[in-house]
Amino acid sequence: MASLELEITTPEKKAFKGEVSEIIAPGADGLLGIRPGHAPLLATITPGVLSFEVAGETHRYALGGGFIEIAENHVRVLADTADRDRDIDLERARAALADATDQLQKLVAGTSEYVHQRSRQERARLRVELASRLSSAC
Amino acid sequence: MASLKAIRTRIRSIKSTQKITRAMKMVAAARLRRSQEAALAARPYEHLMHEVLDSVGARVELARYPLFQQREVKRVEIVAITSDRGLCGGFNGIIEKRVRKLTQEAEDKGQKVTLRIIGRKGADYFRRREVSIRRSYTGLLGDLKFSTAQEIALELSMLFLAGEIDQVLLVYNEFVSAVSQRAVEKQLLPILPPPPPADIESVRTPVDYIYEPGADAILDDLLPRYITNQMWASLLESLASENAARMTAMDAATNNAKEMIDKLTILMNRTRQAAITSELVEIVSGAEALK
Repeated sequence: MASLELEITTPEKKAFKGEVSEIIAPGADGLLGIRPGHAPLLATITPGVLSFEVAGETHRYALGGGFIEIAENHVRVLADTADRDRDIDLERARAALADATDQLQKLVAGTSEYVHQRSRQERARLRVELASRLSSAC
Repeated sequence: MASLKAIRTRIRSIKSTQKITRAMKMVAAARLRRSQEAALAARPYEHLMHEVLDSVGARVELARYPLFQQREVKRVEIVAITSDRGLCGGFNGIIEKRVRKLTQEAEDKGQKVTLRIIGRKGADYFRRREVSIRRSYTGLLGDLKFSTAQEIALELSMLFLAGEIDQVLLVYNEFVSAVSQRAVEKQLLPILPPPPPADIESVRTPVDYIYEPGADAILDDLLPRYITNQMWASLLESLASENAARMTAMDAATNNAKEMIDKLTILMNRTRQAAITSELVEIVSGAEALK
């Protein structure tokens, strides 16, 4: 069976590269399901969970916003951040979420600091969600 | 001639200086490897970003977008990336010189210049001069975060969109190799249409994508990220250059210390020999006199 070549890149690192069979990505207009032979696509992705399967094992990543590009079974994801579920420290993520939520209360909407904390909060929220889902599954 | 004791003290002092410079060189070398890896790790992202912008740019008229808008330049903001710490040779000097030259040129054209300085060294330098610093950042280079680049890029974009500034130039050290860095300037805003990529890998036939949601919406999302990423890449380049410059400077210092120690050791031996010789002469001539 044909497979997909997936690359997840963030400005800080290359998070993943390898052959996968099916990808579900958080598109701006809803979830995107991608299987081999998908038409060329360029889409924005919203902060959310990207999941895919490698040899029967499901990988999940908490993604910041970004893009996904599909061309000839080659999928490239450009994300602000990408954290694999099992690498997330639940305690730390919870603390970050609480801190960002705290900070947000003190700030005025629209300032750069606000936007910054808002994105921190969103990222932390996702991390918490993913990590707790993982720990409850175990 | 200096006394034997004075020379010994001098040698000891140089030796301890040498120990410090050698340690700093090692630290810089270790940091260089890390920052070089970080700079390299950022390249695939940047690369893909260019490709996407190219691809979308071929389909929509980029000039319509405010961030691409070329206006008559009345106010320029120069963003200079320097270092927080010294002992890195000419690293900050060349940036400061370049910024002063750019400032001069802009003022000659009747433009108003504001500076935004990253790094304590640059901030200290320009604070004493007749320039207006809009903002300076210190202490963020030690633990560089992507969100820092995001914040700076966002603030610059907002100033540009609000018409407070008409052009943003970025001045930083580009990492060429461990022994060579050079000061470069880049226009951050308005965005210049990206130059064709140099790699062979990327010269593939442009794919006709389905855009979701629409090319316009993608561009709205892409442009701020593009600016952020340029900022981020420049910070990483500068950081790698800083460590390389420090390593080179400290290596040179260590070698100079060695040279000085060698010279002083010879001098010390000569002085000691001279002292022994003159003592001998005294004894011999004393014995002669007794005959």
